[in-house]
Amino acid sequence: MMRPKKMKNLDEQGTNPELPVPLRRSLTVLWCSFLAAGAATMVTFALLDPARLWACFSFGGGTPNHLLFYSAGFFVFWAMGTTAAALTAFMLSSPRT
Amino acid sequence: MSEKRAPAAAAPVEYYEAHKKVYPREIKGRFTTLRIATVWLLLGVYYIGPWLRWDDRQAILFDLPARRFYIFSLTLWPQDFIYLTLLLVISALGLFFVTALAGRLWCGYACPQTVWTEAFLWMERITEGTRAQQMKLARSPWSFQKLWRRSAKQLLWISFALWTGYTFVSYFTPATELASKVLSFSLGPWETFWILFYSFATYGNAGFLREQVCKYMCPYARFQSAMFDKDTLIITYDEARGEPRGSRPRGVAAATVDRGDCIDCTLCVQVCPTGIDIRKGLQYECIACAACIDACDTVMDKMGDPRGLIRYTTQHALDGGKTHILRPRIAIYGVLLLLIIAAFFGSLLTRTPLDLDVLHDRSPLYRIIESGEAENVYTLKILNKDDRPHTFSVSVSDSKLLQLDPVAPRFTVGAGELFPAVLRVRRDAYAGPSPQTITFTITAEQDAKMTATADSRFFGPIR
Repeated sequence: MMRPKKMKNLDEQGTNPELPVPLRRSLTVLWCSFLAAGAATMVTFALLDPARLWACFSFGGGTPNHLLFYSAGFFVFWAMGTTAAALTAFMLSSPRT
Repeated sequence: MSEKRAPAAAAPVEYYEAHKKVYPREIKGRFTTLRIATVWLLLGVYYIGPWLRWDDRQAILFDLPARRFYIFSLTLWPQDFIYLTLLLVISALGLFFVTALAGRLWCGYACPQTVWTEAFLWMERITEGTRAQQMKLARSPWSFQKLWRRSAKQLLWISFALWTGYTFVSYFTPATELASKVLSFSLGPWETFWILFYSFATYGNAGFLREQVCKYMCPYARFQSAMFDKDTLIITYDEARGEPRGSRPRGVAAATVDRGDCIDCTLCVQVCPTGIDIRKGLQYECIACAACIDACDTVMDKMGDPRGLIRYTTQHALDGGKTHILRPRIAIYGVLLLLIIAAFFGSLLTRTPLDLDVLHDRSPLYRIIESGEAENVYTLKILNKDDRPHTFSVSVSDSKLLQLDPVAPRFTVGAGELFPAVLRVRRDAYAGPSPQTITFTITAEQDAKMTATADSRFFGPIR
C-alpha cells in the first residue's frame, strides 16, 4: 500500500532516463564514489596527521603542506572508490547485453 | 537487394526522453511561509557564521592545517574525533526518527538542495517574472528583452554562487584573512579551487539540476521509504473526497453535479518543484514541500469548500482509522537518540581538555647510576587543549619507592600547545619487580580538575 507504483520500476527509472545508459552509469559510479571518498578522507585524516607522513617520507625540510595531503588523499580515495564501483556496475550488468 | 529499402524516418528517432525544465508556479500559504522562514534562517546562519567572533578568533573555524576545530568556546582536536562521529550518528538517527514520525520534513524544509533552490528560484522570478512569463520567455526567440533578462539572472546566480563558495572556504580559512587575500589577488591554489568548486556546485545544483538531484542523486530519497509506515505523516490527495474530478461553477456544491471536490484546476501540479501530480498518489519524487497543499487550500477557499483536499495525513487516517504516534519504531529510534545525545553531552561537559602520553626512552632501557640506583628516562607529552596556559605538577605512583628527578617537576604549557617534558625516575635497583608498572599523574596547579594519568613501565636489573 505504502509502496508507490513508481517504485516497482525503479531499476530502470532509478538513474536519469534522459541520459544515455553508459553516461548515466558513469555518473552514478563517479557520484557514489565521491560520497565515499569524502567520508574516507575525513576519517583517515582525523586519525592521521599529514605532518607524520611528511616526516615518514622525509620530503626534506620545510613545513608540510596539509592541504596538499588532504586533497591528494581525497582524489586517491575517489579513484579507489571509482574502481570498486565501476567493477561492481560492470559485474552486475548482464554479460549478454 | 532489389527490394526497396524503407525510407528513412523523417524525424530522427529519439531514444531518450528530453529533460523538461520544471517551472514551479509561485504560491502563498502557510507552508510556503514556513519554508521561506527556514530558508532565511538557515541561509542566514550559513552566511553570517564565518563573521562571528569569539575572543580573538573566528567563532566557528575548522583549521585544517593546525588540525583543530573551533566551535565557540570549544576547541576540538583530532583526539576528539569521537565527538564528530557521535554527532554524525545523532544526525542520522535524528533523520530516521523525524522521517518515521513526519515523513520527508527534511527534504521539504531543511535540505540545502531545497533551501538553495528556493533562493535561486527567487532570483529567477525577480529577473524573468512569473511562471507564465518564464515559459513565454523560454519559447520566444532571442531579443534584447530576453538577453538582458537572462543576463541579469545569470549575474545574480553567479554572484550568489561565488559568495556561497567564498563563505564555504571561510569556515576553513579565516573570513577576514580570506577577504584580504581575495582583494589583493593572492589566494592560494587550493583556496581558489575550493571556492570555485563550491560555487560551481551551488550554481549547477540550485540553478540547473534542481529536482534531478533529489530524483537521481540523493541516497536519502531512495531509502526514506524504509522508515515509512502507515502512521507516518505524508502529503496526500484525498481521492475519496476529490474524485471524480471536474470543473464546476463557484458556489455549486460538488455533490449536486455528481462530482468530487477536485475541480481539476491543476494548480497543485503547476506549483510542484519536482513536476509531479500528487493526485496520482504518493511518489518517491515528492519532497514533501507542501506547496500543493497551499495551492489547493487557496482554491478550496475560493470555492467555498473546506480545506484539506490535499493535506498532511497518514495512511491509517486516510483509510478511516486512527493514527498511532507512539509505536515500536518511534520508541526505538527515540530511545536510541536520547541515549546517544545524553552520552554526547555528558562526555563533552565532563571532558578534560588535557592529554598525557608517556614515552619510555628505550636506549638504554635503564642504567645504574653511582648511588647504585636504577634510572629510567621518560618523555611526557603534555597536550593542553584548554584555551589558556596551565602549569602542571607531575607525580608518580609508588612514591616511597620511586623518586622523580627533578624532585618536584613543574611544566608550563601554553594554550593548545604540545609540550614534551623529559623526566628521570629512580629506585633502588633490586627493590621491585622488573618491569614494574608505574603511573604518571599531571595536575594543573590552579585547577585540580585538570588532571590526566598515563601508565608506563619501569625497568631495572633482574636478580
